[in-house]
Amino acid sequence: MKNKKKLFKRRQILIGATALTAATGLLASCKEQVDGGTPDKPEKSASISKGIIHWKMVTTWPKNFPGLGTGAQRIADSITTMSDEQLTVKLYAGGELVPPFECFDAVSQGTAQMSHGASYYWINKNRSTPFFATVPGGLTAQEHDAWIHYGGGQELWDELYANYNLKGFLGGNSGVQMGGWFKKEIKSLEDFKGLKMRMPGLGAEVINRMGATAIALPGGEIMPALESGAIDATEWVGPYNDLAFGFYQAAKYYYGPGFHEPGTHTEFMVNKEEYEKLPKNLQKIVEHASVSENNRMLAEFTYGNSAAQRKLINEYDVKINNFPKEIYDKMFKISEEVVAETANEGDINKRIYNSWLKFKNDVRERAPFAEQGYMERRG
Amino acid sequence: MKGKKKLFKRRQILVGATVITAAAGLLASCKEQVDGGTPDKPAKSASISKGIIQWKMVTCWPRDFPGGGTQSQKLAKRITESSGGKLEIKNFAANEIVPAFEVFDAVREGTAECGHAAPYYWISKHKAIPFFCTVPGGMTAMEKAAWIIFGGGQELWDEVYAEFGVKSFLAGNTGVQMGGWFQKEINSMEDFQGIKMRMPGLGAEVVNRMGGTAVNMPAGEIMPALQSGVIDAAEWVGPWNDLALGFYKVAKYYYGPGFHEGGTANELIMNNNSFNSLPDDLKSIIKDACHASALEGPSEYFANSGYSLDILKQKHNVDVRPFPRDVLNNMFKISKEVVEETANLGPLHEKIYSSWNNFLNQSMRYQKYGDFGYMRDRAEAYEKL
Repeated sequence: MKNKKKLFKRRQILIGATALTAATGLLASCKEQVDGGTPDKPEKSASISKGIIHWKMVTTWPKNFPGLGTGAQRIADSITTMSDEQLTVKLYAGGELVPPFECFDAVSQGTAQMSHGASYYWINKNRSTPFFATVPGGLTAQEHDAWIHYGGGQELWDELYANYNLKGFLGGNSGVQMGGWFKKEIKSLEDFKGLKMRMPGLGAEVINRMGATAIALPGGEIMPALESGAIDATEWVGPYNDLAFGFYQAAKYYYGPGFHEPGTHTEFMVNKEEYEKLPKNLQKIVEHASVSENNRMLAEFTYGNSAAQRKLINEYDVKINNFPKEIYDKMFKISEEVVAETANEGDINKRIYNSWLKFKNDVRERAPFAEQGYMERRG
Repeated sequence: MKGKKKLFKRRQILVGATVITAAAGLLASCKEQVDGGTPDKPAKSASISKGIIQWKMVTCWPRDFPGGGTQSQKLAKRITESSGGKLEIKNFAANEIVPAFEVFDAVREGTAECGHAAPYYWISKHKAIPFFCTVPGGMTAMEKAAWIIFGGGQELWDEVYAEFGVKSFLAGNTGVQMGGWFQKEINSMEDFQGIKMRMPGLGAEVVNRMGGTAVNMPAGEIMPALQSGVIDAAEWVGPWNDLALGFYKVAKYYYGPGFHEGGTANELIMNNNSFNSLPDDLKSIIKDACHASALEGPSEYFANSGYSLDILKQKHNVDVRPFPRDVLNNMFKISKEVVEETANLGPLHEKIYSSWNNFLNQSMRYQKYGDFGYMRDRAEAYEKL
């Protein structure tokens, strides 16, 4: 009885998804009875021949960029392998199919079915998109993950993105980012006055209010700008990625942690309509591949950052320091104001801010008795 | 051409693994030609008819137990769903098939194909196993995942488990645990003299060297023991689980964080033969499902601990505080000694300890600029807002 019921359910699933014919090998044994063509004479278009679905993943990262690009590749590979190639995913580096900052529109319109990037790049679509990546003075990687998956964040994200025919998943995390590379020592708030610094997103507004001038530059243009003196300082990611970019050659002081990106979540985004058309098990594979990489990437950065920091200090004589206290106090105070202002933009913005703020207050209270307290005593 | 090649490969896999016939519904359309029976007359045993692989997952947890229990149930569901039902995992609570502490042997002997547990329960099998779970003064959940997935930990874990014919992946974590519930205030090292405290694993040795007496007992016995005065203090997990067990009724002081469990990992432990006989897609589904749950656990704890702590403080008037600094310093110092001693037990123990210790030290140097530094700066700045 149990088996019969199960089989019936399974058949329903398969009928519902004609593009999916899992056991191609078996089909061959009764090939005349099943549509979709034979191996030698496919009757459907390439993208659905043999019941195989081909999806494109556009990304905002350079090819094989450590952590971010390699993480996106792992999601693509993992979906392909887990589905036994029923759903194959081909990854395109930033610029290969569409420029990095056009991923949002490309997936929304169906040019590509999925993308890997960071939601704060879409701040021009809606001022609250950074809440699904990171905001200044906000949540750590683990706290943010908890808000999205268990604290109501995902539901708000779904509501916001449904307007664009999109659905976002957490797709990895770079951990808390460093404060940045500075050519001169930072001793007091005075040293921020007039400083030209590469800083994206809401963090830009914070340093502007501190008297500096924020400049947004893509990754590839930072080194030349630092070397020519067009900028005096830059933030990028953390030791793992910054070592690879060679910033130590142009700036000697490395401050951290930063106030502006305490745990940047990357975003794995799908075209909602296409996603909903997938059979249930493939939907689950897509979802699970993202949750899995979400954790794996954070583990990679946690490992890579500590190894790279040692190298920066021991081999390249970089001076690593915390910012002075008065600077942190100011940064967090202004961050609080800048982030609160997003709530004034509209109803959904207000609900996102309130949900996030309530969660932040809860976890801040807990932190001295959890990871923060533990690491403080352990060292 | 590409299609043909792929088809050939697929057929080989199917021949090699006769129990797997993915599209059971389609089979029905040519049922006379394929063995394995018809829906109405299954020719094979239940577990392999229709090409469905069925695994039993035995666990160390009571049913629906928040944390371990819910994490293991979610893991079973995730694997079953992702495989489209090709690999069906049925979750069993502790004692449904075997008692909690017999999960390892049940999987090793093949009574169950897999299990969900906290690896440090198997310390009697090999003294270095707690490194893959948690040891006093050790890594946080994130650091543990970093070491195991990217820092060589998995390979060492495989080496230890290979001699037992089992293999594990990380599959959950509780995050940092609290120091415990105390009936009297802890103001100095003196207050630990003669204290009887529930404390499992290597942490027990630390409590003993501090002058206390460590006692181990399962969850259900803690409350009565506290009430009757058999013990003066108990550690369990953290605010979410501890609130549910009601310890606030018998002890007023709640100290944290603990020194003894910086991030306790759970595992999916599998019988090697069962795992190795799976095709690549199912192996990949299991590995990804485990990695998905690796840090999902701490998130669930983060989300539930904050408000649970509020309830304990505000509704139940619990006095929540950190241990005094000199007590904590001693706890970490003794922990370091106790953990180091493991390295003397054999070459593999030493190899595991060294790999673990190298990454821990490297990570501690980084954390001043990492999550710890951030949370410290955030806390200090907010105090002034």
